[in-house]
Amino acid sequence: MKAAILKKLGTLLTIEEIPKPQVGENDVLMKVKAAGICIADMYTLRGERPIKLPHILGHEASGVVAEVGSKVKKFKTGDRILGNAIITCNECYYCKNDLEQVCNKHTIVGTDGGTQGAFAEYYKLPEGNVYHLPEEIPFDQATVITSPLASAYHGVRIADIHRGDTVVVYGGGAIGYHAMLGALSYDSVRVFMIDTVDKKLELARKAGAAEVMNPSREDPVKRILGLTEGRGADVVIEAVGLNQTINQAILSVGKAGRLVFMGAPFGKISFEFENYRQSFLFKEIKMTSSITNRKDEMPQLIELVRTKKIDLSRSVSLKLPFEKINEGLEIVKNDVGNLIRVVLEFD
Amino acid sequence: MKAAVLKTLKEPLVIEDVPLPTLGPKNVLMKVKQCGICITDIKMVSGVRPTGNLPFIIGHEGVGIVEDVGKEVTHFKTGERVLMDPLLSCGMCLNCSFGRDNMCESRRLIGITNETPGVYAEYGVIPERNLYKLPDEVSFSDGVLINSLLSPAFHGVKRMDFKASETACVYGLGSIGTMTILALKAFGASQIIGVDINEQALKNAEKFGLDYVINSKKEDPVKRIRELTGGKGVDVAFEVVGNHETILQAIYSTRHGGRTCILGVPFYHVVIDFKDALGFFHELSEKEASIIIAWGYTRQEFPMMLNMVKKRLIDFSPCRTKVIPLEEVNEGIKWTGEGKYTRVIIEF
Repeated sequence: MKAAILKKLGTLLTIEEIPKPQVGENDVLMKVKAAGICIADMYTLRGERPIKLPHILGHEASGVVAEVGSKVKKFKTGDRILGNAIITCNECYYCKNDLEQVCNKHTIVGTDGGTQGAFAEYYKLPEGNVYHLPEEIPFDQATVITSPLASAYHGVRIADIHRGDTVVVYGGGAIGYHAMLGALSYDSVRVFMIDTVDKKLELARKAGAAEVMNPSREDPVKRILGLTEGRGADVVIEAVGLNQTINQAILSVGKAGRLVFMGAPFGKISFEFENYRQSFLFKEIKMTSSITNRKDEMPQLIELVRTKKIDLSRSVSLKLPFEKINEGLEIVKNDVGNLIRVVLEFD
Repeated sequence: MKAAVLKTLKEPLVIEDVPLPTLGPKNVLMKVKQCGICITDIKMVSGVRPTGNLPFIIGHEGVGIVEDVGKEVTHFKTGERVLMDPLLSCGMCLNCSFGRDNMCESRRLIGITNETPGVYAEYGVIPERNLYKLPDEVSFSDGVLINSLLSPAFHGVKRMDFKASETACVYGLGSIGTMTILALKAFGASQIIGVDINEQALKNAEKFGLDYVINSKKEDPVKRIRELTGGKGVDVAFEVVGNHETILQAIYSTRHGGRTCILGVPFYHVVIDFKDALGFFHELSEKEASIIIAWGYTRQEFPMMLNMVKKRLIDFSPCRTKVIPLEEVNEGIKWTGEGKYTRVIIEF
């Protein structure tokens, strides 16, 4: 099969013929139809993830079943499928206590060393990580479900959104944008999107944002308070991960509000308010972070996309043939055109 | 009636005869039996915290007996033992309407806010809505401990959705910290670890039912808590100090998916600074941890607390109370500041 291989950090991938993966008894072999490029692939390319070279990247794939292991029951050759690449250990304290999203020993197929990713004609996953893909959902959109929408939706569930809530999203990138779509899947919710890039705000507006704000032109906190009779938002989702946006997020949430941190901050964070008591303590807020996703969320998520309660029609910004993978990686690396998702397609 | 009146800030209270307050139609005249002395009272006397226009009668932790009722009062009659909730909420704003009257938009407090005099006095006029019947099994002193100290601790444990068999640690073992231990026991905690820097406080708190005590001046509490919980950290951490360092330690003491309750109310500026570049990422993001603030208490928690104390699910016997006559109120204020007692209580 053809696969894009990373041989040396800092170099381009080379497409080569290699043997198909061996299917274990519980595995499903996917003939890849589409694979998304994730920002996490950039971390791997930069050497920030422990991988063994040569390595095949990619963890956001959809396709059809090419082969199944002897113990696989739910899938047969030809089924349309999508994969979720996070394999949990099922043994640690967290897996045993219904907290698989924080499994101590999880691996991400395609991201962690010794695993083969989806930037190849065939991609292998355990049966438990594979889901049927309804006819209504095209392959390119299905790749979005596997990772950005799954992560974003997990955060939305943590946010405990209720009908009628005002939800503020800081950050209109892949996670923030899909968190907004997730929030909008609750009836009569109004979402405000905040980003410094007008193009992302325009997209958010088209996808249903009630208000958009660009903090380089206006103070979002002031505007949010103005739009909520001084109360602040019921829910704030922070999907940037900067000290400034995290602090703005806390200032934007109202009394008894919920806040979810979805950005992964790699810089030093410090909560600091002019009035700690009024801005923080006396609001009695709940702040939670959100990481990865859970298997039990996948079926409902697929159903929400199938029924268009979550509309992914604007999520794939660019489609490239698999052969142009290096071009795609460059675009994502340099954030050319502020795209939500770049997806590679196979013949 | 006799009352201890705050006439001049930073001066001792003056005991004198004042007119009996007038009884409105929806009010109850409570013959005060006991009233606790709160740190807030000290802060008002010393001028650190705003108070009602002087002269003002402070005191918001009262229990007593119904002496008389207003024309429209339906739930109370003369002679009944009662406990007062000092929080005057409107019952109309959005926060009140969803049961969070601790954040009422027009929140006032009896004995603290202007024009709502308190109960360092023989009688107090309390709205019917702010009174709860004190069961015969619950002593007046227990009543004072409920409305003064148990209430915020109970609210915190409840707000954390604490489940039986979970593990907890408590940073700060002062009066509210020890009440948190009592509430955690009542909620079925399987392991409670207490942390403080004061040896005396640790010794005292042990009597409340701690499984382990840690002096964080002598050893790293986060490391020790992880050791005591099989390397994971506790399910729920309670921060009852209101200090940057202990807030961080509390967060760092929780397991993946754990919850940290911020109960401490500081009277100074606090910055929560996740010192290391990846501190926030490792201790919140990766752990999918929560920080939940608990502030004050809500109306609906009074019947719950009263029932639990009545059934002895919450047992105040380890508490050290000091009962004094009104004449010793100024000494009582001093003792409260020294923190030797769980509560200093004025008795009439």
